[in-house]
Formats: sequence, structure tokens, C-alpha cells
Amino acid sequence: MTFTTFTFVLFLPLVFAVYWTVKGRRAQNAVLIAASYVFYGWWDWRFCSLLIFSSLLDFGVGIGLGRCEGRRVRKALLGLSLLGNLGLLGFFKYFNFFAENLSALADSVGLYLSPVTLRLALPVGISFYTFQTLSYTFDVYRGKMLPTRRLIDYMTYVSFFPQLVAGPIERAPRLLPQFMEERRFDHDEAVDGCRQMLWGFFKKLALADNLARIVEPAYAGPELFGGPRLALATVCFAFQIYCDFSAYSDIAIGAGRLFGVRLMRNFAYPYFSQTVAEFWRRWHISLATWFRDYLYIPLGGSRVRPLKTAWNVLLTFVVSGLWHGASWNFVIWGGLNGLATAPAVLSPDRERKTPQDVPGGVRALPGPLVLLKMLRTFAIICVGWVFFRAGTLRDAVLILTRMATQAFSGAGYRELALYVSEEAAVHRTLIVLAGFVLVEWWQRRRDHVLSIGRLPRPLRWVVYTALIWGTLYLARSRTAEFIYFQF
Amino acid sequence: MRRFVIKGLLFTLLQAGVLAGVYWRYEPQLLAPAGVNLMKHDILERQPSPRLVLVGGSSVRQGTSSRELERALGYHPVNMGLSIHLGPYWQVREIEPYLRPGDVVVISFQPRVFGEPTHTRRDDILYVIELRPAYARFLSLQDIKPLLDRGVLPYLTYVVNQAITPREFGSLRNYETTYGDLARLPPDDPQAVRWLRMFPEHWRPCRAAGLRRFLNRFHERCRARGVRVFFSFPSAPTPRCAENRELIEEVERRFCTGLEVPVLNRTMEASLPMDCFNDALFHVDRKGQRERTAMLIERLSAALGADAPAARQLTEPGRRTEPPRRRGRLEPPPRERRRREPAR
Repeated sequence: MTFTTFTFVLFLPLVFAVYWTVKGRRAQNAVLIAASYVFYGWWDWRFCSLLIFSSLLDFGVGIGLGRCEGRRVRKALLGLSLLGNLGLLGFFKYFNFFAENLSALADSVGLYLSPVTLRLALPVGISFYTFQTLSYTFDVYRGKMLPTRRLIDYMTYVSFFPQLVAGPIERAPRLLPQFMEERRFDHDEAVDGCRQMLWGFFKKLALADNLARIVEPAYAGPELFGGPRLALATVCFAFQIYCDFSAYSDIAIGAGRLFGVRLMRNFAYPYFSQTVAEFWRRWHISLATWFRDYLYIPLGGSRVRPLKTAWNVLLTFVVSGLWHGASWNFVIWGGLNGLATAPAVLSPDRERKTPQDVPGGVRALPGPLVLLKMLRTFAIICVGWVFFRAGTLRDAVLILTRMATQAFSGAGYRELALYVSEEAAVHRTLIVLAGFVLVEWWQRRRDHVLSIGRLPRPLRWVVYTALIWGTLYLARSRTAEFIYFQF
Repeated sequence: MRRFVIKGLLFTLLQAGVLAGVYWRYEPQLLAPAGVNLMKHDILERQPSPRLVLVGGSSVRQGTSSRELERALGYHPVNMGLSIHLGPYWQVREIEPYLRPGDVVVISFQPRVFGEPTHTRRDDILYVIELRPAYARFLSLQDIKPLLDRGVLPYLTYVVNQAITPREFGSLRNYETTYGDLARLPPDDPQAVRWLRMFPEHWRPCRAAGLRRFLNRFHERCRARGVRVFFSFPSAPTPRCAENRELIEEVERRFCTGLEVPVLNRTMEASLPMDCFNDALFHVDRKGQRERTAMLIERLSAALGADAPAARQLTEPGRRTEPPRRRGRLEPPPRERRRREPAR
């Protein structure tokens, strides 16, 4: 089930009503599990078996780790969890990639290997929940938490529907304890959760889907367009993916708050970052911290020689690129971001901005230097997005080449001006986008943009009503799936 | 909790009020593409038997020349090519009650119908029901989930847009010929033909067992009533077919295994050069229409054999159809009427 469907509009109040009607932790968790499996099975009921498998495997491994003291047995149990989860992920996500590349490699040395490729549906959200269950096993293995013996609590932790298919990827020490006690209804949390969801719906339906209209043709046939038009499409993609993915996180976090569950923040105004390293502390925070804690730090992090640190950064980014999908484009995207991040990590006088810091500084308007830094970071990130979005490596190179060589092409700008002025939907979307950036800048101190609890109620209700109907007015008749569902 | 529920109900009430205001301003567009459904139904009822009923999406709507089919095969063609957003179940269910003995039905769905994810909107069903509520009887259980997932929200979006900035649609007279063919093709858009994908991203063929069972049962019922049913994959650009050959063949293998409806042609057999397409991958232009019609005539003649009525000599030129008025539902909307009234 997708958030942006009428089905979800009916489903959420129904689950909410049943959830707060029942009493006790067990009953609440049972309602959440049932709702989560309906939510997940709505795509394809067969996917539920994978969720059950992943949950039971790590629950069992956790109990095993709690009972066993021997290092070898503990390692074997960890290996079993890794094999099960990464095997599942590898089978569904990477099998074809490796089969095709192996065949190409064999071909290059004169051997013929017929590639055995499988046409499998990638179960939605598999990369998210396998990482979530793995984090539990890692934490139990390292002794950071005790394994739970309550299967129902653990299954709720893995399958909690708001964040099941596209995160935020939660950690067991933070989320699991919330399911181990009865939740009490908090009026202010629920109201603010609704606001956050509303802002998420606006970002997805009014912005992301409309930006896709500008991006799709340019990236489907880049050879047909000039550099300026491709540059516009790339900038639009940068905002499309941000609006799309952060919208999902906002709706997930907001829905979680309705059920008395606090999920971690996933985005903190990333496009106001002044360095690429800061960007990655503000973008997809749950995944970035996952890789930091379970890959970068175990590799040695920044406590090793500078060259090794740079290698660790690069490797972490490449693996995070591969997490997004089995393609060389993602590997290059990860590599580019790793290269852009490494200098900041190695710099001795680095200034570490956390997601809690106000992005772009506390001044109402950014100074020229800050603005330049933000634009530079945005431009570097956009180069990476070209590889992320392009269908093939050849397309990505073509787009970058055109953008570079036709940066001052009069014909290219004429084509762009014609496109923007003739298509009403395009200039309307760009105007809404400009407004969105201003509102985000204005509200960047808050956890989410629609934190307007202090305004008088009539004004708040006017804002909500305008947002609901404005979203319906601006929404495209064809709503696209959330981009991160494919990962 | 009580405070939250009360506030929630009040807020819902406020939104219901806004919705009522939106509906008050909204006028269903009788001349919009959904109105074509009603018009085509009237053609279906009016045409004498034996008829050749072409069923499918927009690829059927502008896919053939019914006049040529009539001339060559002797049947009275009815082009029931509607919107793909109605879904295959609805499209078949909405013609079934109107079939008569001796009729021939040719069903044609794009290969992407037989896989997942389809991502196809289903809001068109709601526009049709809005115009003629009795057609809700064509809804099947298979339509409910897609309607909730991909129908209601696009419909609401459309209603809000129409209420705020109403868009006028062209006259029905320009849309269809006597047979239901598209009278005037949309403007050429070669770029769209080039960049539109044949299959959505991450699309994969599925067994489509439900749809196959449904078509088999439909075929059985039709056979009992003396109606013959065929399936024909639509034409697509040859280069695109070549790129997706493996996938297309897998779709066809999966779908056709166990299908009792005779298949007239596969996608690869019906593929045409790129310049035979108009504004989308499965939308042929006039040249493409001629090619596809010739192929259908050849395949249908072979399949029907002696059952086909004698080829007919047409004396009357293909005329434009009159908008059906018998049910009094296709009158121009009030706004249109107001405009036509002379100023006083």
C-alpha cells in the first residue's frame, strides 16, 4: 500500500481507531503487526513470507547470541544472520547484476558464459527491513543491547508499517524499547504528526510528481535536448528526489507519532549544506549513520592513517551506492560522493555540523560566502545525481558533456526559454518550487516545515485547508510511486 | 484522545464543506473522453449484426480503419477502443451484455497489461459512472483495489482542477466516426514515441492467471451465444519490439499458455516501422492504420473462413456520427448551452 492512495486514507484512521481502542502492550503490538502485514501484503501477499523469514531469523539469532558465550558460536550465529539477510538481498537485488558482469568478463577473455538472469520482482522495502534486522543482530552481538525474548515485540519492530518500506531505518536500541511498553496517547504529538504528514503529502503530490514531468523526458532521451534543458532537468531531479524521499520520511514519522512511536529524523534541510560532508549528515540520516556505525567505524573510521581514512570513506560511499541498486551508475555515484567527502573528513580543522545545527547559519539571509558555499555544494551533489538518475553510464556521460559544453549556448537557452514559457505546468511547478525553497529556508530551525503550533488556531486551519486543496489542485492525475521503493 | 477526535471530526466537517463547494462549482464534462464511452455504447447498440467488435485501449481506438474492415470482411465494425485506464475487466464486461449471435469480438491489450506494476490510473471508471450511474454494474471485484489505489485520488484531483479552472473539451462530433474510430488523429509527437517506455521501470511479466481465466470464461459464454472471440496483440514500433523482444516473448508465452481465446497475431508479427506511429508507442498514424488493418483482415479472413459474411461494397462515405441523444444524457453541459443562447 502506498501512502499517496485513497486506500491509505481509509486504512490509517481505521488502524488508529482499533489501536487506541485496545488496551495493553501486547494487544497494541498485535494490531500493529496485523496492520503492517496488510499494508505490506497489499503489494503482493507473497512478500510477507520474506518479512516473516527475516524477522524470525534475527529473532532466533538474537536469542542464540544471548545464550552463547563462546566466540566461535557467536561468530557463526552472526554469520548465519548475515548470510540469511544479505543472501536474501543479494538474490533479489544483485543476482542479475553479478551474472551479467561475470558473463561480460568471461566474454572479454574469450570464454562464452550464457548469463543466467532471473526476472524477479524486487520485494518492496527489502533493503530497508533487512538492514533494520541486521542492526539488531549487530547490536546484540556487540553487547550494546540485550536480545529480546518477546517475539511479538520484535516482529512489531521489524514490520512497523509507517517505516517498513522506505525507512527511516531504525535501530533496535531506540525503537524496540518503545514497543516493549504500552503507548499512551499524546495529543500534541498526534497533532504535530498530522501536520508533518500533511507537509509530506504536499511535497510528494504537489512537487515531486510535477518535477518528474520535467525530468523524465530529458533523462529518457538526453540526446534530444541541449545542455541548459538537461541542467534544468538535473536541478529538478535534485529537488524531485528530495521532495519525494523526505516526503515519505515525513509521512512515516508523522504516522508513527499518531501511534505514540517516535521515529528518527531522516532529513535536516540538506540543500542548505555548505560542504558535501555536511550534506551527508543531513541527507538520509538513518542510512548514513547505519553505514557509519556498522561499516565505517569497524573499518577503522578516522582513527587510522589519513590514507586509510580516505579509503574507508570511499569504500563506505561505494557500498552505500551499491545498496541503492545493482548498477555501475550507483557505484560511480557513491564513489564521487566519497571523493567529495574525503577532504572534509581528513581536514584537521574540520567544522562538524550536526543535523541539529541551523543549516546555512542563524542569520535571516545567508551571507554571500555562505550562499556561494551552498551553491557549490549543490552543484557537486547535482553531478552525482546525474549518475544516480541516468538510465545508463553512456547517458550520464552524455548529459554531463552537454551540460559542460553547451553552458553558454544561445540555442540551448532559447530552447529552455521556449519550453518553460510554453508549458504552463512547467512554469507553475518552478514557481511552486521557488516558494518551497523559501519556506524551507524560513523554517529551517524546526524539525519540519509545518511546525506552526504557535499560530492561532483559525489561521492554522486555514493553512491546513489551503495545503490540502492546493495539493489536490497541483497534484498530477498520475501519481508516481515513491522513488525509494525501487531500492 | 477525546479532544483529538472532536477536533479531527470538526476539521473533517470543514473539509467536507469545502468539498461540497468544489462539487457545486464542478460540472461533469459530457464532452470529455469519458463521454465517448456512452457514445460508443450507442454505436454498439445501433449497428446491425453481424458486427466486428474491437475491444481495447487507445491502441484500438486509433488502430484500424473500420471502413476497410467492413469492406473486406463484410461485418459491421464497432470500435470499442476506449481508455486503458478503464482496465481490461471493465472493457470486456461493458460490451458483453450487448453482443448478439454472429458477432465477432477482437480483444487487443498492450503487453504491459500482463505484468506488474501497471501503475495505470483507474479514474476513468469514475468519470463514466458519473455520467451514467447505471454503468456501475460493469464494476467487478478486480476493479475495486485499483480503483481505491489509483482511481479516487486522480478523480478528486480532476474534480478540483475542473472546479477551479474548467477545461473545455472538443465536440464529440470531432472524435469518432460512425464506427467509433478516431476521426482526427492527435497531433504528431515523434519525441514522445521515442522516449516513452514500452514497459515501466522494474516491470516484470506475471502469470496474469486471473485475467486469462476471465477471458476464457468470457470466451466460453460467447461461444454458447454464437459469438466468436479472438485476441490480437497491438502494433508497436519495430525497434522497440527488438529492444524488448525477450520480455515481449515471455509475456506472450505466459499469457497465451492456457488461453482458450484464439490469438490472431503476436506483437513481433504486428510490429511496424517507427514512422507509422503518431504520439505514443502503441498509437499508429494513418499509414500504420492501413498496415495494421491489412494484417487484421488477412488474419481474420483466415480464422473465420467460410463463416465470414460476403465482403461488402460500400456506397456511403464514412460519415461522422451523431451524438446519441436517445437517453438524453449527452446534451451539452449547461455552460455550453448558455454560450449558444443568443444574447438578449
